[in-house]
Amino acid sequence: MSLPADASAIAAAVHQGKTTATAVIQDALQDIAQRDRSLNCFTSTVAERALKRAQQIDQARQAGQPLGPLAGVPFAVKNLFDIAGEVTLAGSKINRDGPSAPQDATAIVRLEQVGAILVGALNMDEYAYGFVTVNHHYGATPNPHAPARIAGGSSGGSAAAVAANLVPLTLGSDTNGSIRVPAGLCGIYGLKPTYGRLSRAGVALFSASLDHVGPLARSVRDIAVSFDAMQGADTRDPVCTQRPPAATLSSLEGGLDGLRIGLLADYFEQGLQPEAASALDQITTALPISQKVTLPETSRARAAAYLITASEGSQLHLRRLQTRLMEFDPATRDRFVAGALIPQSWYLQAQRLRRWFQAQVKAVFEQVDILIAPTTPCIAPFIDQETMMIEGQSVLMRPHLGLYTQPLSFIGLPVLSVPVTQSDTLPVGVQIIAAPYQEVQILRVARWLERQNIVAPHPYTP
Amino acid sequence: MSSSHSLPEPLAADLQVYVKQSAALLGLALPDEVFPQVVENFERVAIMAQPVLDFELPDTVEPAAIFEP
Repeated sequence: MSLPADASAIAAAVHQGKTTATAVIQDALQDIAQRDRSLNCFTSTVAERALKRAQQIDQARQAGQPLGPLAGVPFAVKNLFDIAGEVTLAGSKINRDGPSAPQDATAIVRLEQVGAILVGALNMDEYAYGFVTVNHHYGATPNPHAPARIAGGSSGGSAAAVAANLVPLTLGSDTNGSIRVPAGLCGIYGLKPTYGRLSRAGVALFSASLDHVGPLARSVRDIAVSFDAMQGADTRDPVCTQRPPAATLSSLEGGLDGLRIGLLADYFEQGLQPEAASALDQITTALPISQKVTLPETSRARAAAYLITASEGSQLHLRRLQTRLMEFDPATRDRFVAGALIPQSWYLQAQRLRRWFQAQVKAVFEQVDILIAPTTPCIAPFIDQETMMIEGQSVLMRPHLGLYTQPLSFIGLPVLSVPVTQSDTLPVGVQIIAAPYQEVQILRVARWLERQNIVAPHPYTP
Repeated sequence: MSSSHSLPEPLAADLQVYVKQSAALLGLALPDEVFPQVVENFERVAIMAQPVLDFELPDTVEPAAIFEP
């Protein structure tokens, strides 16, 4: 069976009694068992737990109890989210020897509180250090629209599972672009909220001062519903905001009224390949762009983000690098070691540059409410591709995928990557960016574009 | 793009020494088959770090790391 279009449609069918949560989950698990052999999104499923939860929801409906807005919706998480009783792999082989998680990650708990049902864990780059989801231990997750190409990463399993209709909703994490890059390359929506907006408790960290979690889905509504459900303070995450939750769903149809929209220029125009340029054109033609905006020193900001990531990530894994070096994925190992050797003065300069850059960009948001930029410079590269040509120069493909995402997560801005409707080309995304804590403005713009059919999930043909 | 740049020759040679000694200081034993890639990666980091280090910041700009007691 193919699932209805999105999570909200599934939940509506369960609410109305057109189907049961049990039937939805049984179908999803069966579908995953059959199709994931080639899609390679899942690293594990939790069938027993999922069916039990489904039964509880069906019983609640029969008893006339109220159901949540995601009742009966199957979802899955990048395998760095803790699942009670399971070992949290974070894409590694080393972690298999660790203890199983004592409890679910907060984000899972909150989605299940509104009726969603966890069905499994998804493939990723080892310890989230990559943009490709080509994992030495668990294989590559191919792009569902072009299996010789990457899904993007590091939340590649999360993006591909939604793109291929295995589940309508997943969770990923984003440090430098790891939700937005795969969402863009797989042709779906991926939200990286404001830094600290959603709890990361029970999520294996990569670079603590840059890590975010967020949802990937097939509609703006699903992004809003899941984002709203996951909001709220959490004492288990030291950076989780104390601000009260700001619901977005009720404001989705607010349109563009009162929003000043700018296009990021200069740095964000360099190296843009034709498919990504035409996707950006479609968005900027549709939206009332009032000005082009240049962020100062964006290139230095990106480099500083890299230094922070490499320093923090390597320090986090130092003990494992000391004792189990050759069990790392070769694709992350050498970068982790190199990162461990970064002088502290470089790291602190990067953290100071971050503060400076934040102040510059804050001033920009006095002139505009929304900024637009491409998500990636190109469509999905081939799985074995090492370099790409950008303006006549050969550059390393893997790090280059984060060119436009990295400077924005550096200062924790909320960003949604939207899938632009284009025929005859592989998917590519555009980023909609707002000031900190203004996710609602982003979602209003995305919903407006969705209503005009300018953004939509890339059609999947198995 | 920064990856096409390189460090001045004397510094590039010193990187091998730096990698070897700082790795030893951190208790990282690097097998021969890993060492060259680590040097290559560290050189890439060093190149990327230059524009960050060159950028003059006022003394009043604090690091952005978060700690709330």
